[in-house]
Amino acid sequence: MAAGITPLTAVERPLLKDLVYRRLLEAISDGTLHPGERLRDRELEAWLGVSRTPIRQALDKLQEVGLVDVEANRYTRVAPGSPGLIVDQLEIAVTLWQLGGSLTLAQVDDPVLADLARGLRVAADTVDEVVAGDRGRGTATTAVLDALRSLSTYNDNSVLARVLAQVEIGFSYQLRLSSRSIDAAAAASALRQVERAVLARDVETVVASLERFLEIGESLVLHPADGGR
Amino acid sequence: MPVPSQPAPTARSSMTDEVYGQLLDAILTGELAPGRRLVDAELTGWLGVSRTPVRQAIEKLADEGFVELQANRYTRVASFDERTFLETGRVILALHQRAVSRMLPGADDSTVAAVSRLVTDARRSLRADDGGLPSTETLRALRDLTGYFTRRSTNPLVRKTVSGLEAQMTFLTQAVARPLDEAAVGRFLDAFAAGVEDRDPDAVDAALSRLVDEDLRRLAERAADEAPEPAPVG
Repeated sequence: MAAGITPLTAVERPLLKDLVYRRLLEAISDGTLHPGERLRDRELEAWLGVSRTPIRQALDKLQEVGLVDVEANRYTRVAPGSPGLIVDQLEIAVTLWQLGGSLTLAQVDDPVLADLARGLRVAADTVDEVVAGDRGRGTATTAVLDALRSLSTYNDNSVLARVLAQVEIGFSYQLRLSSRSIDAAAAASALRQVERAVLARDVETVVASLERFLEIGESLVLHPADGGR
Repeated sequence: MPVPSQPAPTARSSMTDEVYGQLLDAILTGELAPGRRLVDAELTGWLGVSRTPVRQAIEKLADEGFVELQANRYTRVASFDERTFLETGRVILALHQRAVSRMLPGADDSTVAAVSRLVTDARRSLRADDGGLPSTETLRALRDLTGYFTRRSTNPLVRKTVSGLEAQMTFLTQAVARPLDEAAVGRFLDAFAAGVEDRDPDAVDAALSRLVDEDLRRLAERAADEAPEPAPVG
Protein backbone atom coordinates (compact mmCIF):
# COMPACT_ATOMS: atom_id res chain seq x y z
CA MET A 1 0.00 0.00 0.00
CA ALA A 2 1.95 2.96 -1.31
CA ALA A 3 -0.07 5.65 0.47
CA GLY A 4 0.75 4.29 3.91
CA ILE A 5 4.48 4.34 3.40
CA THR A 6 6.03 7.72 3.92
CA PRO A 7 9.70 8.11 3.12
CA LEU A 8 11.82 8.14 6.25
CA THR A 9 12.96 11.71 5.70
CA ALA A 10 9.42 13.00 6.06
CA VAL A 11 9.32 11.54 9.55
CA GLU A 12 12.78 12.62 10.55
CA ARG A 13 12.92 16.09 9.15
CA PRO A 14 10.65 17.82 11.68
CA LEU A 15 12.59 16.15 14.44
CA LEU A 16 15.91 17.18 12.98
CA LYS A 17 14.74 20.75 12.56
CA ASP A 18 13.66 20.84 16.20
CA LEU A 19 16.95 19.35 17.37
CA VAL A 20 18.91 21.91 15.41
CA TYR A 21 16.68 24.64 16.83
CA ARG A 22 17.36 23.50 20.37
CA ARG A 23 21.11 23.21 19.80
CA LEU A 24 21.34 26.70 18.35
CA LEU A 25 19.06 28.13 21.02
CA GLU A 26 21.35 26.68 23.65
CA ALA A 27 24.51 27.90 21.92
CA ILE A 28 23.10 31.42 21.66
CA SER A 29 21.79 31.42 25.22
CA ASP A 30 25.03 30.21 26.81
CA GLY A 31 27.16 32.55 24.71
CA THR A 32 28.92 29.88 22.60
CA LEU A 33 27.61 31.96 19.70
CA HIS A 34 28.19 35.63 20.42
CA PRO A 35 25.67 38.43 19.94
CA GLY A 36 26.12 39.84 16.43
CA GLU A 37 28.12 36.81 15.24
CA ARG A 38 27.57 35.87 11.60
CA LEU A 39 25.92 32.50 11.04
CA ARG A 40 27.01 30.90 7.79
CA ASP A 41 25.11 27.89 6.50
CA ARG A 42 28.26 26.03 5.58
CA GLU A 43 29.86 26.48 8.99
CA LEU A 44 26.68 25.42 10.74
CA GLU A 45 26.38 22.39 8.46
CA ALA A 46 29.90 21.33 9.37
CA TRP A 47 29.42 22.05 13.05
CA LEU A 48 26.06 20.33 13.47
CA GLY A 49 26.56 17.65 10.83
CA VAL A 50 23.19 18.20 9.17
CA SER A 51 22.09 19.57 5.84
CA ARG A 52 21.05 23.09 5.00
CA THR A 53 17.29 22.48 5.10
CA PRO A 54 16.84 21.82 8.82
CA ILE A 55 19.35 24.57 9.57
CA ARG A 56 17.37 27.14 7.60
CA GLN A 57 14.15 25.98 9.25
CA ALA A 58 15.70 26.32 12.69
CA LEU A 59 17.09 29.77 11.83
CA ASP A 60 13.60 30.82 10.69
CA LYS A 61 12.20 29.82 14.03
CA LEU A 62 15.01 31.56 15.91
CA GLN A 63 14.29 34.68 13.90
CA GLU A 64 10.64 34.45 14.98
CA VAL A 65 11.60 34.54 18.64
CA GLY A 66 14.11 37.33 18.11
CA LEU A 67 17.39 35.46 18.64
CA VAL A 68 18.56 35.70 15.05
CA ASP A 69 18.50 38.54 12.50
CA VAL A 70 18.13 37.64 8.85
CA GLU A 71 18.75 40.14 6.10
CA ALA A 72 18.24 38.25 2.82
CA ASN A 73 21.47 37.90 0.84
CA ARG A 74 23.37 40.09 3.27
CA TYR A 75 23.69 38.27 6.53
CA THR A 76 22.24 35.95 9.09
CA ARG A 77 23.55 36.73 12.53
CA VAL A 78 22.94 36.18 16.20
CA ALA A 79 20.74 39.08 17.33
CA PRO A 80 22.83 41.82 18.91
CA GLY A 81 21.85 43.43 22.18
CA SER A 82 19.09 45.96 21.61
CA PRO A 83 17.91 47.58 24.85
CA GLY A 84 14.94 49.27 23.12
CA LEU A 85 13.50 45.84 22.38
CA ILE A 86 13.23 45.04 26.08
CA VAL A 87 10.37 47.48 26.63
CA ASP A 88 8.53 46.20 23.53
CA GLN A 89 8.90 42.59 24.69
CA LEU A 90 7.94 43.51 28.21
CA GLU A 91 4.74 45.21 27.02
CA ILE A 92 3.54 41.93 25.55
CA ALA A 93 4.75 39.91 28.53
CA VAL A 94 2.95 42.18 31.02
CA THR A 95 -0.26 42.00 28.96
CA LEU A 96 -0.07 38.20 28.97
CA TRP A 97 0.81 37.98 32.67
CA GLN A 98 -2.24 40.13 33.39
CA LEU A 99 -4.46 37.95 31.24
CA GLY A 100 -2.98 34.87 32.91
CA GLY A 101 -3.63 36.32 36.36
CA SER A 102 -7.26 37.20 35.57
CA LEU A 103 -8.02 33.81 34.05
CA THR A 104 -6.27 31.95 36.84
CA LEU A 105 -8.11 33.78 39.62
CA ALA A 106 -11.41 32.95 37.95
CA GLN A 107 -10.52 29.27 37.56
CA VAL A 108 -8.59 27.90 40.51
CA ASP A 109 -9.62 26.92 44.03
CA ASP A 110 -8.00 28.10 47.26
CA PRO A 111 -5.29 25.43 47.69
CA VAL A 112 -4.02 26.10 44.17
CA LEU A 113 -4.15 29.80 44.82
CA ALA A 114 -2.04 29.30 47.94
CA ASP A 115 0.52 27.40 45.84
CA LEU A 116 0.66 30.19 43.32
CA ALA A 117 1.07 32.80 46.05
CA ARG A 118 3.84 30.77 47.68
CA GLY A 119 5.73 30.73 44.38
CA LEU A 120 5.46 34.50 44.12
CA ARG A 121 6.67 34.90 47.71
CA VAL A 122 9.67 32.64 47.16
CA ALA A 123 10.58 34.63 44.06
CA ALA A 124 10.36 37.89 46.01
CA ASP A 125 12.62 36.41 48.72
CA THR A 126 15.14 35.37 46.07
CA VAL A 127 15.17 38.89 44.68
CA ASP A 128 15.75 40.26 48.18
CA GLU A 129 18.76 37.97 48.58
CA VAL A 130 20.11 39.35 45.32
CA VAL A 131 19.65 42.90 46.63
CA ALA A 132 21.53 41.89 49.78
CA GLY A 133 24.36 40.70 47.55
CA ASP A 134 24.05 37.00 48.42
CA ARG A 135 23.19 35.88 44.91
CA GLY A 136 23.86 36.87 41.30
CA ARG A 137 21.46 39.00 39.34
CA GLY A 138 20.73 36.25 36.80
CA THR A 139 19.06 34.32 39.63
CA ALA A 140 16.72 37.24 40.27
CA THR A 141 15.63 37.54 36.64
CA THR A 142 14.96 33.82 36.39
CA ALA A 143 13.03 33.77 39.66
CA VAL A 144 10.88 36.73 38.67
CA LEU A 145 10.10 35.35 35.22
CA ASP A 146 9.31 31.88 36.58
CA ALA A 147 6.96 33.31 39.19
CA LEU A 148 5.14 35.56 36.74
CA ARG A 149 4.88 32.78 34.18
CA SER A 150 3.12 30.68 36.80
CA LEU A 151 0.23 33.17 36.65
CA SER A 152 -0.40 31.81 33.16
CA THR A 153 0.38 28.15 33.75
CA TYR A 154 -2.23 27.71 36.48
CA ASN A 155 -4.99 28.21 33.92
CA ASP A 156 -5.67 26.21 30.78
CA ASN A 157 -5.24 28.76 27.97
CA SER A 158 -2.59 27.04 25.86
CA VAL A 159 -2.46 29.81 23.25
CA LEU A 160 -1.51 32.23 26.01
CA ALA A 161 1.20 29.86 27.22
CA ARG A 162 2.60 29.44 23.70
CA VAL A 163 2.75 33.16 22.89
CA LEU A 164 4.23 33.96 26.30
CA ALA A 165 6.92 31.29 25.92
CA GLN A 166 7.91 32.78 22.56
CA VAL A 167 8.18 36.31 23.92
CA GLU A 168 10.10 35.14 26.96
CA ILE A 169 12.89 33.60 24.90
CA GLY A 170 13.75 36.89 23.23
CA PHE A 171 13.09 38.85 26.38
CA SER A 172 15.39 36.79 28.61
CA TYR A 173 18.08 36.98 25.94
CA GLN A 174 17.94 40.77 25.71
CA LEU A 175 17.84 41.11 29.50
CA ARG A 176 20.98 39.03 29.77
CA LEU A 177 22.78 41.19 27.22
CA SER A 178 21.70 44.40 28.89
CA SER A 179 24.48 45.98 30.89
CA ARG A 180 22.01 47.37 33.39
CA SER A 181 20.21 45.41 36.05
CA ILE A 182 16.61 45.88 36.98
CA ASP A 183 15.61 47.76 40.10
CA ALA A 184 15.48 44.59 42.15
CA ALA A 185 13.91 46.22 45.19
CA ALA A 186 11.05 47.54 43.07
CA ALA A 187 10.60 44.11 41.46
CA ALA A 188 10.46 42.41 44.86
CA SER A 189 7.92 44.93 46.09
CA ALA A 190 5.75 44.48 42.98
CA LEU A 191 5.93 40.70 43.37
CA ARG A 192 4.76 40.91 46.98
CA GLN A 193 1.90 43.15 45.90
CA VAL A 194 0.88 40.59 43.27
CA GLU A 195 1.09 37.85 45.89
CA ARG A 196 -1.22 39.65 48.32
CA ALA A 197 -3.70 40.50 45.55
CA VAL A 198 -3.70 36.87 44.36
CA LEU A 199 -4.55 35.65 47.86
CA ALA A 200 -7.32 38.24 48.08
CA ARG A 201 -8.58 37.23 44.61
CA ASP A 202 -8.37 40.90 43.73
CA VAL A 203 -8.02 40.90 39.94
CA GLU A 204 -7.77 44.67 39.60
CA THR A 205 -4.83 44.93 41.98
CA VAL A 206 -3.10 41.95 40.34
CA VAL A 207 -3.36 43.77 37.01
CA ALA A 208 -2.21 47.09 38.46
CA SER A 209 0.75 45.51 40.30
CA LEU A 210 1.87 43.74 37.14
CA GLU A 211 1.75 47.04 35.30
CA ARG A 212 4.57 48.20 37.62
CA PHE A 213 6.93 45.79 35.85
CA LEU A 214 6.52 47.88 32.72
CA GLU A 215 7.79 50.91 34.64
CA ILE A 216 10.64 48.86 36.06
CA GLY A 217 11.61 47.80 32.56
CA GLU A 218 11.34 51.32 31.20
CA SER A 219 13.69 52.69 33.82
CA LEU A 220 16.12 49.97 32.78
CA VAL A 221 16.24 51.31 29.26
CA LEU A 222 15.51 55.00 29.53
CA HIS A 223 18.25 56.01 31.93
CA PRO A 224 21.37 54.27 30.67
CA ALA A 225 23.56 57.15 31.86
CA ASP A 226 22.94 56.29 35.53
CA GLY A 227 25.16 53.24 35.24
CA GLY A 228 24.19 49.77 36.43
CA ARG A 229 25.24 47.72 39.37
CA MET B 1 31.19 51.60 1.65
CA PRO B 2 27.70 51.77 0.19
CA VAL B 3 25.50 48.79 0.82
CA PRO B 4 24.80 46.74 -2.33
CA SER B 5 21.51 47.75 -3.87
CA GLN B 6 18.42 45.54 -3.88
CA PRO B 7 19.65 42.09 -2.87
CA ALA B 8 17.68 39.24 -4.40
CA PRO B 9 16.60 36.78 -1.70
CA THR B 10 18.14 33.35 -1.89
CA ALA B 11 16.36 30.99 -4.23
CA ARG B 12 15.37 28.27 -1.83
CA SER B 13 14.07 30.30 1.06
CA SER B 14 12.08 32.55 -1.28
CA MET B 15 10.56 29.47 -2.90
CA THR B 16 9.43 28.14 0.47
CA ASP B 17 8.07 31.57 1.41
CA GLU B 18 6.16 31.74 -1.84
CA VAL B 19 4.66 28.28 -1.43
CA TYR B 20 3.85 29.10 2.19
CA GLY B 21 2.06 32.28 1.09
CA GLN B 22 0.08 30.47 -1.62
CA LEU B 23 -0.99 27.67 0.71
CA LEU B 24 -1.92 30.07 3.50
CA ASP B 25 -3.99 32.14 1.04
CA ALA B 26 -5.75 29.02 -0.19
CA ILE B 27 -6.49 28.00 3.41
CA LEU B 28 -7.69 31.45 4.44
CA THR B 29 -10.00 31.83 1.45
CA GLY B 30 -11.39 28.35 2.05
CA GLU B 31 -10.14 27.04 -1.28
CA LEU B 32 -8.42 24.41 0.83
CA ALA B 33 -11.19 23.71 3.32
CA PRO B 34 -10.76 22.60 6.94
CA GLY B 35 -10.08 18.88 7.15
CA ARG B 36 -8.94 18.73 3.52
CA ARG B 37 -6.07 16.28 3.02
CA LEU B 38 -2.85 17.74 1.69
CA VAL B 39 -1.09 15.28 -0.57
CA ASP B 40 2.47 16.16 -1.59
CA ALA B 41 2.11 14.93 -5.16
CA GLU B 42 -1.05 16.95 -5.64
CA LEU B 43 0.48 20.11 -4.23
CA THR B 44 3.73 19.88 -6.17
CA GLY B 45 1.65 19.48 -9.33
CA TRP B 46 -0.67 22.34 -8.44
CA LEU B 47 2.07 24.79 -7.45
CA GLY B 48 4.63 23.57 -9.98
CA VAL B 49 7.43 23.22 -7.45
CA SER B 50 9.42 20.39 -5.95
CA ARG B 51 8.59 18.52 -2.77
CA THR B 52 11.14 20.25 -0.51
CA PRO B 53 9.59 23.74 -0.44
CA VAL B 54 6.14 22.17 -0.16
CA ARG B 55 7.15 20.14 2.91
CA GLN B 56 8.92 23.12 4.47
CA ALA B 57 5.90 25.35 3.93
CA ILE B 58 3.59 22.69 5.36
CA GLU B 59 5.77 22.28 8.45
CA LYS B 60 5.66 26.02 9.01
CA LEU B 61 1.86 26.02 8.62
CA ALA B 62 1.70 23.13 11.09
CA ASP B 63 3.79 25.09 13.61
CA GLU B 64 1.27 27.91 13.31
CA GLY B 65 -1.75 25.66 13.71
CA PHE B 66 -3.20 25.96 10.19
CA VAL B 67 -2.29 22.40 9.31
CA GLU B 68 -2.51 19.18 11.32
CA LEU B 69 0.34 16.82 10.69
CA GLN B 70 0.85 13.30 11.98
CA ALA B 71 3.94 11.70 10.52
CA ASN B 72 3.01 8.55 8.61
CA ARG B 73 -0.70 9.15 9.08
CA TYR B 74 -2.05 12.38 7.65
CA THR B 75 -1.39 15.95 6.66
CA ARG B 76 -4.55 18.02 6.46
CA VAL B 77 -5.92 21.49 6.85
CA ALA B 78 -6.78 21.94 10.54
CA SER B 79 -10.43 21.63 11.48
CA PHE B 80 -12.35 23.87 13.81
CA ASP B 81 -11.28 23.62 17.40
CA GLU B 82 -13.53 25.35 19.92
CA ARG B 83 -10.89 25.66 22.59
CA THR B 84 -8.19 27.15 20.38
CA PHE B 85 -10.81 29.50 18.94
CA LEU B 86 -11.80 30.93 22.32
CA GLU B 87 -8.26 30.95 23.71
CA THR B 88 -6.91 32.77 20.68
CA GLY B 89 -9.77 35.25 20.94
CA ARG B 90 -8.87 35.93 24.56
CA VAL B 91 -5.20 36.63 23.85
CA ILE B 92 -6.02 38.95 20.94
CA LEU B 93 -8.57 40.70 23.13
CA ALA B 94 -5.98 41.41 25.84
CA LEU B 95 -3.56 42.95 23.33
CA HIS B 96 -6.34 44.98 21.67
CA GLN B 97 -7.53 46.33 25.01
CA ARG B 98 -4.06 47.55 25.94
CA ALA B 99 -3.74 49.36 22.60
CA VAL B 100 -7.20 50.91 23.03
CA SER B 101 -6.47 52.19 26.52
CA ARG B 102 -3.16 53.66 25.36
CA MET B 103 -4.27 55.29 22.15
CA LEU B 104 -7.97 56.09 22.31
CA PRO B 105 -7.89 58.90 24.91
CA GLY B 106 -5.68 61.02 22.66
CA ALA B 107 -7.32 60.04 19.38
CA ASP B 108 -7.95 62.85 16.90
CA ASP B 109 -11.05 63.44 14.78
CA SER B 110 -9.63 61.66 11.74
CA THR B 111 -9.25 58.49 13.84
CA VAL B 112 -12.88 58.67 14.88
CA ALA B 113 -13.89 59.23 11.24
CA ALA B 114 -11.76 56.29 10.06
CA VAL B 115 -13.28 53.97 12.66
CA SER B 116 -16.74 55.12 11.71
CA ARG B 117 -16.02 54.29 8.05
CA LEU B 118 -14.84 50.82 9.07
CA VAL B 119 -18.04 50.32 11.06
CA THR B 120 -20.07 51.25 7.99
CA ASP B 121 -18.05 48.80 5.87
CA ALA B 122 -18.57 46.03 8.39
CA ARG B 123 -22.28 46.70 8.61
CA ARG B 124 -22.71 46.70 4.84
CA SER B 125 -20.72 43.52 4.47
CA LEU B 126 -22.62 41.82 7.27
CA ARG B 127 -25.90 42.72 5.60
CA ALA B 128 -24.67 41.36 2.28
CA ASP B 129 -24.01 38.00 3.95
CA ASP B 130 -27.78 37.89 4.44
CA GLY B 131 -27.73 35.49 7.36
CA GLY B 132 -25.38 33.10 5.55
CA LEU B 133 -21.75 32.27 6.26
CA PRO B 134 -19.54 35.34 6.79
CA SER B 135 -17.75 36.41 3.62
CA THR B 136 -14.02 37.12 3.50
CA GLU B 137 -14.94 40.82 3.35
CA THR B 138 -16.98 40.62 6.55
CA LEU B 139 -14.21 38.86 8.43
CA ARG B 140 -11.65 41.33 7.12
CA ALA B 141 -13.83 44.28 8.08
CA LEU B 142 -14.28 42.95 11.61
CA ARG B 143 -10.56 42.26 11.92
CA ASP B 144 -9.63 45.76 10.68
CA LEU B 145 -12.08 47.34 13.07
CA THR B 146 -11.31 45.37 16.24
CA GLY B 147 -7.57 45.72 15.63
CA TYR B 148 -7.64 49.35 14.50
CA PHE B 149 -5.60 50.61 17.43
CA THR B 150 -3.34 47.58 17.79
CA ARG B 151 -2.33 47.86 14.16
CA ARG B 152 -1.21 51.42 14.86
CA SER B 153 0.74 50.52 17.98
CA THR B 154 4.26 51.93 18.09
CA ASN B 155 5.43 48.53 19.31
CA PRO B 156 6.33 46.43 16.24
CA LEU B 157 6.31 43.26 18.30
CA VAL B 158 2.70 43.85 19.32
CA ARG B 159 1.74 44.37 15.67
CA LYS B 160 3.53 41.20 14.61
CA THR B 161 2.12 39.07 17.44
CA VAL B 162 -1.44 40.22 16.86
CA SER B 163 -1.34 39.81 13.10
CA GLY B 164 -0.23 36.19 13.47
CA LEU B 165 -3.00 35.49 15.97
CA GLU B 166 -5.57 37.29 13.83
CA ALA B 167 -4.79 35.16 10.80
CA GLN B 168 -5.38 32.13 12.99
CA MET B 169 -8.61 33.62 14.32
CA THR B 170 -9.94 34.47 10.86
CA PHE B 171 -9.22 30.93 9.77
CA LEU B 172 -11.01 29.45 12.79
CA THR B 173 -14.00 31.77 12.31
CA GLN B 174 -14.28 30.42 8.78
CA ALA B 175 -13.72 26.87 9.92
CA VAL B 176 -16.58 27.13 12.42
CA ALA B 177 -18.80 27.35 9.32
CA ARG B 178 -21.73 28.97 11.09
CA PRO B 179 -23.41 32.29 10.28
CA LEU B 180 -22.55 35.16 12.62
CA ASP B 181 -25.33 36.38 14.89
CA GLU B 182 -26.23 39.50 12.93
CA ALA B 183 -27.99 41.21 15.83
CA ALA B 184 -25.13 40.55 18.26
CA VAL B 185 -22.47 41.77 15.85
CA GLY B 186 -24.66 44.79 15.09
CA ARG B 187 -24.78 45.60 18.81
CA PHE B 188 -21.01 45.25 18.99
CA LEU B 189 -20.53 47.64 16.06
CA ASP B 190 -22.79 50.24 17.67
CA ALA B 191 -21.03 49.98 21.04
CA PHE B 192 -17.55 50.09 19.52
CA ALA B 193 -18.35 53.13 17.36
CA ALA B 194 -19.99 54.97 20.26
CA GLY B 195 -17.05 54.22 22.59
CA VAL B 196 -14.54 55.52 20.04
CA GLU B 197 -16.59 58.63 19.41
CA ASP B 198 -16.69 59.36 23.15
CA ARG B 199 -12.98 58.46 23.42
CA ASP B 200 -14.00 56.13 26.21
CA PRO B 201 -11.55 53.20 26.42
CA ASP B 202 -13.63 51.43 29.07
CA ALA B 203 -16.67 51.37 26.78
CA VAL B 204 -14.61 50.02 23.87
CA ASP B 205 -13.00 47.44 26.18
CA ALA B 206 -16.43 46.32 27.31
CA ALA B 207 -17.68 46.02 23.71
CA LEU B 208 -14.64 43.91 22.77
CA SER B 209 -14.99 41.74 25.88
CA ARG B 210 -18.63 41.08 25.13
CA LEU B 211 -17.80 40.14 21.55
CA VAL B 212 -15.23 37.55 22.67
CA ASP B 213 -16.65 36.29 25.95
CA GLU B 214 -20.30 36.14 24.90
CA ASP B 215 -20.80 36.30 21.13
CA LEU B 216 -17.85 34.13 20.09
CA ARG B 217 -18.51 31.72 22.91
CA ARG B 218 -22.10 31.27 21.75
CA LEU B 219 -20.92 30.79 18.19
CA ALA B 220 -18.44 28.11 19.27
CA GLU B 221 -20.99 26.36 21.47
CA ARG B 222 -23.51 26.32 18.67
CA ALA B 223 -20.93 24.71 16.40
CA ALA B 224 -20.03 22.14 19.06
CA ASP B 225 -23.69 21.26 19.70
CA GLU B 226 -24.54 20.90 16.06
CA ALA B 227 -21.36 19.17 14.95
CA PRO B 228 -22.38 16.00 13.19
CA GLU B 229 -20.23 12.92 13.54
CA PRO B 230 -17.79 13.18 10.66
CA ALA B 231 -19.17 11.08 7.85
CA PRO B 232 -16.91 8.26 6.74
CA VAL B 233 -15.22 9.20 3.50
CA GLY B 234 -15.11 7.04 0.40
